[in-house]
Amino acid sequence: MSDTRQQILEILGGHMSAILARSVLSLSISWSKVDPNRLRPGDDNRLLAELEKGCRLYVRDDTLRQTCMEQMQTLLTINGHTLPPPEEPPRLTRVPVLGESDIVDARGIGRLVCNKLGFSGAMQIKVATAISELARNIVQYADKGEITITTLNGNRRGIEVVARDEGPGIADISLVMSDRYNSRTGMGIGLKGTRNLMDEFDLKSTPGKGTEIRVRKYMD
Amino acid sequence: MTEISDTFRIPIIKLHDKLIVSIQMALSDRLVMQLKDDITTRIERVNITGLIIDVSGIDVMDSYISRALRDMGLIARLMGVRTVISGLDPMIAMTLVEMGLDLKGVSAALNLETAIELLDRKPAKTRGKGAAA
Repeated sequence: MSDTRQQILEILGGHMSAILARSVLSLSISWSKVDPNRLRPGDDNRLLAELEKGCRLYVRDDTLRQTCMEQMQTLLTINGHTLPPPEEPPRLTRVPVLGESDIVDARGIGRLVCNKLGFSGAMQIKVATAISELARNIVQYADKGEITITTLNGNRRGIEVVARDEGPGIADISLVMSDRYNSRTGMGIGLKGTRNLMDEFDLKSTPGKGTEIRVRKYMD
Repeated sequence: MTEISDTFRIPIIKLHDKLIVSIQMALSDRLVMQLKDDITTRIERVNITGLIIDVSGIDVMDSYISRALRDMGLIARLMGVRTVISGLDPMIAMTLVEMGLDLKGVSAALNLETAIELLDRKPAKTRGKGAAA
């Protein structure tokens, strides 16, 4: 890839001294927070705006300054957009849950996806905790299963987590969700707690076939 | 994410009359179980009056981890040791409350320093019925 930084310096250098050119460029970079060699869409305009401020100080002649700006604009347009736009979180992430150690991975991945979506720290922790509960249920009662994390980009941005297994299923859902229930290992609060943390909670289970729990959390 | 080997254990440090455990990682179930065993063994072996579990570096606290921490506190109390949980992230605390979880029987402190102060201030051994909260 061409060194855009160097090329901008050459253009600026045609209109001012090398030292001035270097300082105009480095100040423009630090103010616009744009790396000329790693341009993303929109970066070129922000960098050009800062460069123009600098050129106004040192290139007094309007026509010359315009030429200088046009040259840099052409350069940035040619060299720009070489990098993809900021990474979109993958719409769907599958995490196989095959053992105890996958619980930590699943909640870590969930948190990462929420972070990329722009969820607040508290929301990230809530989603991660819910995933941890769902993954642990899989390991404890069904041995193995899968968690899928899907980003929702519709009217309401958010995240959907589906935990699926082909385990023994839940015979009495209302019991598990009731206040009386106490499990062996947790506080009997795993599923109830998950429901409280999430905006939507949907549990489907067929004894002998398996369980599917679908939860959603929205950004607002 | 850093891989943690299968044999890694959370260190337990003895400081004067206290044991200090600082959890600075995502807790797997194996680590939780190991820690519970290790704490019990250490309390039995060394003469201490207080246990501080610093959770400032924990990633989440789900029902399993909360229950395990509560259990550690209960076990310690039965062995004459008071437990203080310190450094609980406010966002994790909020999550615990929303889930309806509660660390009954375990005192909490904002950070390690206040945890030490709390243990020093109160009588080392609680007599009679139940520990004062």
